[in-house]
Amino acid sequence: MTLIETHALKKEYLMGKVIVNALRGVDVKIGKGEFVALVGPSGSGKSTLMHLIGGLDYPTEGTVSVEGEDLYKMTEGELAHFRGMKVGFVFQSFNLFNLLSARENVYFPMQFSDIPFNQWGVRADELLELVKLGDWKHHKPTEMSGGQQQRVAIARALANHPDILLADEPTGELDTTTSLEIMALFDRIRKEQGTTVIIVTHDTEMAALADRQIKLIDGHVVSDIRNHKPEVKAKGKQSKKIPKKKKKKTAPKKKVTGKKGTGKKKTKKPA
Amino acid sequence: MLYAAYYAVRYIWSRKLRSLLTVLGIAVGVAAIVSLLGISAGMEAQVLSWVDTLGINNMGVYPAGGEDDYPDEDDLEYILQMEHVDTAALFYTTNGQVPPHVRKRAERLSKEVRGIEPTGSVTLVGTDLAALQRILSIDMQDGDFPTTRQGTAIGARVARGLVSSANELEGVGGRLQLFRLGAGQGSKGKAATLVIDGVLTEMGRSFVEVDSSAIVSVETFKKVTGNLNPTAGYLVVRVDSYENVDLVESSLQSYFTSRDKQVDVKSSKSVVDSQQQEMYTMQIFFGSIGAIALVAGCIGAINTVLTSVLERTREIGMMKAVGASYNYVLMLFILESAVLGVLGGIVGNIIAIGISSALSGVLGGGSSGMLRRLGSGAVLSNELMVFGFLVGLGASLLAGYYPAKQAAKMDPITALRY
Repeated sequence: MTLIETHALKKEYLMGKVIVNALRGVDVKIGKGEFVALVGPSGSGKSTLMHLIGGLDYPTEGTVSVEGEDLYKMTEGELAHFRGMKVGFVFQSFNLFNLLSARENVYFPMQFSDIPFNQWGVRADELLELVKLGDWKHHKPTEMSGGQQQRVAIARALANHPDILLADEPTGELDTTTSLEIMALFDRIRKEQGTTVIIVTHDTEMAALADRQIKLIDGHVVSDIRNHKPEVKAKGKQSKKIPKKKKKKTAPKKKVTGKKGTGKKKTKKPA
Repeated sequence: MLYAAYYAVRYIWSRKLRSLLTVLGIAVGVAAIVSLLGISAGMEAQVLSWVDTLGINNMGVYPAGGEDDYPDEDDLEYILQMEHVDTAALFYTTNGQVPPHVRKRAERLSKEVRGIEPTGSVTLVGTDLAALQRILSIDMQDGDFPTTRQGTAIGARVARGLVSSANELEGVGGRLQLFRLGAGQGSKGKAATLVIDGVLTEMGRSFVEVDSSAIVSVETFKKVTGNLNPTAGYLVVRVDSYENVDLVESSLQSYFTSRDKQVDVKSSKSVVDSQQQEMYTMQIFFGSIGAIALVAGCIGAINTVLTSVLERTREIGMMKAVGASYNYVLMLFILESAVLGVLGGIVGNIIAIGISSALSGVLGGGSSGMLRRLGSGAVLSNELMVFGFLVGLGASLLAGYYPAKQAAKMDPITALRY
């Protein structure tokens, strides 16, 4: 079932006085519950594509539709609501509110939702449990490690039960072990909640952990391949409740070792 | 909305020093406006109270030239027939508040009369008691206003002097013994003994100097001074209504011109007008000082919010990424300046209260002229303080609007890359 569809998507922007063609006509379809890695060298347009899917930027030409609705026909307020309710963003540099505690960071998007105020705390605690930060909820981001901060960011991204989780280089500032933990967390979220996860990465090892790799070069999609994974993808949202399952750290790790080969092939084409 | 307010307060608190300075900037502006307008209001109240004691419909006629210019009984008779004149009275006086050239003559008279030691000299004022009662809004602090030609009323200051001298003659029903100045207190110097009917309340500035006078009928005045044909110092006219004051003033002028007498006609309206003129000038002066202070505070506030917007560019990008709309960001920053404005308004009013009480404390005492008038009290009404508060809030909202708009307009991607 197609959730996200882009059609002839083009994006130009000015860099100083030079026009940069970040995207030159991209058509992709991403289904519900997929775990997609956007890969490619820097400047290939992968981040731009992600921003357009998330309603953060405006395309020069073409359309992006989510659940059949054209994002860029929405008003500014509707688009903001879309970002708040349907999408969760995770960034390379975490982008947490340093003034607020972990728990309050997770609260923040809830003010744009219809989650009643007295539920905020419960929901935030659940999400922080999910990312294994139950004991850190009153700490500020500045008192946390990079991996912890990124997990707070993920919890915040999930605050309003989004359909899509977008992560721009989520492991870019983390060491390998932590990166693998974060990837495992994405996989779990996808599986448990049916969230579509799209990550931008140029780390082939991480890309290999996704179900599907879409590779961009110079604003074009040059390859779109499925990683060979035995598991069947989760179908849709199973429940809004987050089951507090035990850590399954070991499971994704095994997959990593298995897919290493595929990942390395992709590194050969840096622009 | 509530959460945004919480977040705004959180942010302000996290930048304590900067926020404090901004609040102070606004507060100084508010304090300047409130206290300066309060001082003007105090002055206005004072002018209004003068109008009260002067009597809004009254005017005084004072000789402006030599001996021949003094108003006399013929003039009085004529004036009493004039249209729109309610009543009028001549005032015979041995001293008192009369123009310098009149005073010269009055001094000669006052040599003849004085009060009991240690009270010092008392001005004896002879006039038509019934007319006086109509001209001044008379209030007695003790006893009654004399209704007979033999009666005497004394001013509040005279009464105080009598009390402090512990004289047996004090108060209503007592006797006021008058002696000629320089003649000693023997029977030879004794001029008269007056029975006090009542004590007038303190009147302050008025056409008739009441507070330090003993007021008697013209007949008594003649008897006491021994001068059967005295010259009146001045004349006070009461007009029937306020609208006719100017009319009567000009007909008085032309009457005296026709009689070949040079006089100054001073209506309480003109006295008040000149006071009011002076007051408006001060109000404008004070108002502009306050406005300048507020503008300076405002610029400080703009600077603070702009800095805050710039420094939080990335944060604004984050907010937008998690679902904040243009309106939300706008509201957040406006709320922030509103909080600063509310604090500034409150602190400003507190400072204003401090300033006005310090003013009346420091200047309320001895100093003279304008300074004393300043000291006579700033009137900080509730309305004025609310006004000052709103001005501070409004100024900070105005100051916050532009930076808030800048913030709201930010493109999330650009902001996130900042």
